[in-house]
Amino acid sequence: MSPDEYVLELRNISKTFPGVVALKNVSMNVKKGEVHALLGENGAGKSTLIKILSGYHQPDKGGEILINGKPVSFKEPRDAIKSSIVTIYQELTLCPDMTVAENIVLDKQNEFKGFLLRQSDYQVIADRVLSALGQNEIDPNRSVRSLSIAQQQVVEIAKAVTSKAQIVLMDEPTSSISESDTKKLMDIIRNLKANGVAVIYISHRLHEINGIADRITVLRDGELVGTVNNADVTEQDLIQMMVGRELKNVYPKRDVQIGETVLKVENLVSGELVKGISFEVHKGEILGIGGLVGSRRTEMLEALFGLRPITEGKIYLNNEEIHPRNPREAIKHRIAFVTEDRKKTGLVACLPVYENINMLNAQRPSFAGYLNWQQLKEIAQRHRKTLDIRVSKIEQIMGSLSGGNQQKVALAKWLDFSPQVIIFDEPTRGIDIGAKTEIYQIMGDLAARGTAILMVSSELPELISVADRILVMQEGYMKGIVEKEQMTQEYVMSLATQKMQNLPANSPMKGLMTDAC
Amino acid sequence: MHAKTDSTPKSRTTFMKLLIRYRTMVILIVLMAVFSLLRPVFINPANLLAILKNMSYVLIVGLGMTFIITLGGLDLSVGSIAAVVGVTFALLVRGGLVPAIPALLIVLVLSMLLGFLNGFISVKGKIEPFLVTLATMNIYRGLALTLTSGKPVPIVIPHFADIFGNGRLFNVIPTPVIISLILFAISWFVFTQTKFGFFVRSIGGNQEASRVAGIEISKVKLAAYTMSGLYAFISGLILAALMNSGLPDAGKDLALDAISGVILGGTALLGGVGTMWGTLGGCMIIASLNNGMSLLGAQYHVQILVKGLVIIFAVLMDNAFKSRQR
Repeated sequence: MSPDEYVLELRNISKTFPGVVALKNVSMNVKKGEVHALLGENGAGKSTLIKILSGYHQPDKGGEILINGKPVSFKEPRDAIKSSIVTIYQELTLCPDMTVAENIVLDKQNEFKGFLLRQSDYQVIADRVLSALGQNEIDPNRSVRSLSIAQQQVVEIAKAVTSKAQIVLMDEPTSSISESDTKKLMDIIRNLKANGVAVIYISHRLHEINGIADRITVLRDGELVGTVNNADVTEQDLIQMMVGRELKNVYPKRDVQIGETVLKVENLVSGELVKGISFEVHKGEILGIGGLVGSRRTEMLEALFGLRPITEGKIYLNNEEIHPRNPREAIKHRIAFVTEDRKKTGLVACLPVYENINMLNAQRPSFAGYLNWQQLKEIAQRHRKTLDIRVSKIEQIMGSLSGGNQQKVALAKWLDFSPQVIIFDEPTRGIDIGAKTEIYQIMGDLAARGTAILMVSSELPELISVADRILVMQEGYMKGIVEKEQMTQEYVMSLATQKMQNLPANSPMKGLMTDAC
Repeated sequence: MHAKTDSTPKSRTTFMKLLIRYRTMVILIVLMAVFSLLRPVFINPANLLAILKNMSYVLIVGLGMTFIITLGGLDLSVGSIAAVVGVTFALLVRGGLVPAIPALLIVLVLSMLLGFLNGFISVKGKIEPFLVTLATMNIYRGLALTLTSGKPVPIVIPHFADIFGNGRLFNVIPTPVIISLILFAISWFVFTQTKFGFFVRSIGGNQEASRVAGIEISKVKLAAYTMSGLYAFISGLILAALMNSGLPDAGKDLALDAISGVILGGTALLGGVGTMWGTLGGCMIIASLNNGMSLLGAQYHVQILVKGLVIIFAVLMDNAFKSRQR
């Protein structure tokens, strides 16, 4: 195929954020009318690539983007739209109180002359595009709020199609819709393809990609692993390409004596979300918690930590029943919670590093509420040293740190309370590989000192390599606890995905790593 | 050759950095220089003291407002609380109904209660502080007007005007200036050196992260709004003393002037970032503007027009500062 048939070409695209190289020299191309899947683990650089293509990020100097053979540069999202690249994000970007038709024409107001709204024109356009997509059951006059998530997605796609897109980027379009809606989406994608539109499709779900993609590009740790024809590879090959590293180097070995029970949870229920979870975690043990996104692992932990009401069940700490009603009480029982979303719940981005480290230390009783900052700064320095937090000075503003260093600070603030139980929710999300290993090392050290650890992770290799046992959840229910000798990615995944009723043990499954990549 | 081309833009950026970092100071100094050139009497010590005196009651509520805004909140009701303070104090001491000291204590408790109510409604009712204090601003003002049927109530007790209003320490420094500077020092200490100040900054910076870290958000908020009432109490006393009476419409511009001063001082309206020094500088900018323009013969309506422009300019500099930080 001659190069001018590529509708999109990327040449040597790199992107560096302060402290992290998100993309290194990635080159790929997309043909007209092709469905091109983009695959990779968390932090592989897929989102960064999509954001560059949609104009939210600018690539580092030296890279080139060509559309129909002509170099382009996007300074802002509207430049990408002008070059007929349309992005459909995970979170929908519709105005919920406007009608379907209004949403579809919202980004095309330049095409309408005059001053007044033209509702009837809008409807004609909306009708035409919806029926072209085979979605006649959606009434253009309804407000978007009244539609199902899947229908809203159709509207989003309709919006993209009417703007005469040459390239449609779909960032995990099926993450929030049902199986049957996914099938409809696949039909729509085939429809787009038939009309010569190139679709770049990001998904964790290998079986979806298998069914729809022509070619697949795999990224790992910000680098291009390769582009392959879908017909030439198996799911196993793709997993190999995605994970393809020596796991031994990433996950440090640890050999910890597991002691008596520290935390025991019996039939924990929290409203409609968490439905009867029971487990024990021992001194020095790391209990992994697995499940798909939406399996309410975080909600379960939040209930434990007093962030959610507990409606039923009992929690025992060292054989004594406790009732944490808010984080403060949980902390009094020396339970720590390193949360999933650092920016939202783990850190105060506008404060300096040393103040973040001392969020809990500052709460110790003191005369007239006076804080001895000199002493607190020394504490911060000590943590900086032992955890190897890389900052130029501890007065540095938190928001400017890389993910790995932020995570270390988010952890450091708990340590002076010598927690008995530490809850880690996705401790390595958005962290580069080197820092990941350090975090595992720290977790191992904490366990060695007798701390009981709970760790939620969506990365199966991480879960299996780090955890001593794995509790698997599905939609708020507990699906079972996997012992060390049973641990395979396939088995954990089958527990996490298969329907509650018919669960054959150790069944091979499709869509491995559904949530892990 | 290389060194030269490299160093020039670098030194320029450090200069710009300093300029932006100390923007409040820079604006203040430029402003004072301009006024001094146009009207040399501006720089006269007596005039400077007059500026500080007119600034005092704005600065005092501004100090409380710094806590509130850093916390991510807003208190529009301080001017009305100040009016309630003046009016109730005047009514209590009128005709020797209540002796001065107990009257002061009653009014003190009342003002803190009004501040506490702001916080309580906002925290328990989960209502934006902007809306709550917009409402209480009217309610408290209505209270002051109702109590007095809209008429000023003279305060005729010995020493009151001297202590809080027109007296001078060593016959030089006006007492309101002394009071406001002492409060500034205390506020600076509380803001930077105590748990409370730290929690205010951390809650304003990230409320959810502070909750997870076990900080008692509601308590801190209630305390901050109660304190804002306390600052309004002192400000209200000064206003009453300057006029020698409780005026039901005293402090009408107080809240907005104080908020302007705080914002000019670089405190972020979204919370998390603020300094007491900035608030001092910001309030001085407003007071200098008022004074300087009066000296130039500008009328009130021109004054507020210029004040508005200066605020926009300062916020633009603020944004430049933030984009540089990134």
